[in-house]
Amino acid sequence: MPEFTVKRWEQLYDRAFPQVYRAVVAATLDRERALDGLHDAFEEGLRHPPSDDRNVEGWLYRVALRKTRRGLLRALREGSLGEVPADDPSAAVLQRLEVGRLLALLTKRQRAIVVAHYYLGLSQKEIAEAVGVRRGTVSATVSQSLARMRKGEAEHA
Amino acid sequence: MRDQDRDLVHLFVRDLDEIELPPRDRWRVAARKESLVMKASRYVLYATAIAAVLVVALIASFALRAGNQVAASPSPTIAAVTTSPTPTPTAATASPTPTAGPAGAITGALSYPSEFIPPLTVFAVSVADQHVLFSVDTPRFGADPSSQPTAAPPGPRPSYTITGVTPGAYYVFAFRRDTFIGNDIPAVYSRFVVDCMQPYGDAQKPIPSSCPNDHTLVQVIVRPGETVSRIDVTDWNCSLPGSTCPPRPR
Repeated sequence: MPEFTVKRWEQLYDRAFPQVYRAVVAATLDRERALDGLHDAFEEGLRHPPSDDRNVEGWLYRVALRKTRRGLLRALREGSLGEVPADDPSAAVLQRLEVGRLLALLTKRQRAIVVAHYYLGLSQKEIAEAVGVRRGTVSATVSQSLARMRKGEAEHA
Repeated sequence: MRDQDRDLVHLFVRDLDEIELPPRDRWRVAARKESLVMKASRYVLYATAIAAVLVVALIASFALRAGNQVAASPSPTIAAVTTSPTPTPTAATASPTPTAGPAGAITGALSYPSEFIPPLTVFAVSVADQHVLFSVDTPRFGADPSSQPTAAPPGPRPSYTITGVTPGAYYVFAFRRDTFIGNDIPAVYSRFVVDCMQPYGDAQKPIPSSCPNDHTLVQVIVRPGETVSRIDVTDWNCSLPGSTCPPRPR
């Protein structure tokens, strides 16, 4: 790491941690896994830092999701599994929030993409790279998720 | 961005920012979760590894010590000695104790005042510690003593080689292995061999009577990995008055 020193990486990680942690929690509905995934991402950043520091949040989100094992790639392999378990304490925290109720309506893949889009503010291209899908899939997933959330919101009202 | 999107962004940011963060000291890897069982297993593993290393070291240490004390008995060689120019061992002022390092070898000619050479055991005994010794058994060379005498033992010149010799200083001598009265008089590698027998015997000349009658044993220095040659155990006269023969090693 010539210009990307360890100290610099630590600074970037600390700065990005709150937002990325919350995003990974929202995507996985599991705080411990989210933390483990970020720890692994931090270590990976020490070994193979991101090529630039302009989008550290996106990089961390991608790596942490991959490391959680319940990341999107696995969800894709497993199909649309991963509904929110009712007794999950992390899910309970989220379900107290309005967005939590909406996210609970989505699959893991949808959650990961929606959170990246609406919370982290990643572009479709960045999301596609982050979760390893085509850009068109990102766009379609966001639309499907919106429709599902709207429907759920209407039913809730 | 559409209004609906803006609303969703606002909603996501507002709500997700309420997710409680872990304590600062857990943000990074330092606080790895490790159960009691995992921790105990780790310590057991470390302890086992350390114990294994210690046991291996102990075994190696004993093996090394045993290797230094036990006489090696390589198979005898009947081949003629190659008389390549090697440093002739001379009496050394120091007496290096056998030390660790690549083993060396001692080789030389054998003789006996007859038409045959009886079976011998050639010993290399450490100058510093007589318990450290190496040996080799040689077979009978030449005709049976009961048969008609011949000019010399047939075939190549009888020789011996002691291999696996730990570097150090040694006296080299040989005792008969067969039962024979007077078999406690050894052949030795002596000053007489160096000064009288080798220069003249090799040149096929009679040894002059003026040659000093010195049968003192000569130290042989074995260096790591080196084969010391021309250590001819050919002097059977250490029992002459004024000389001392080495005792037969037990």
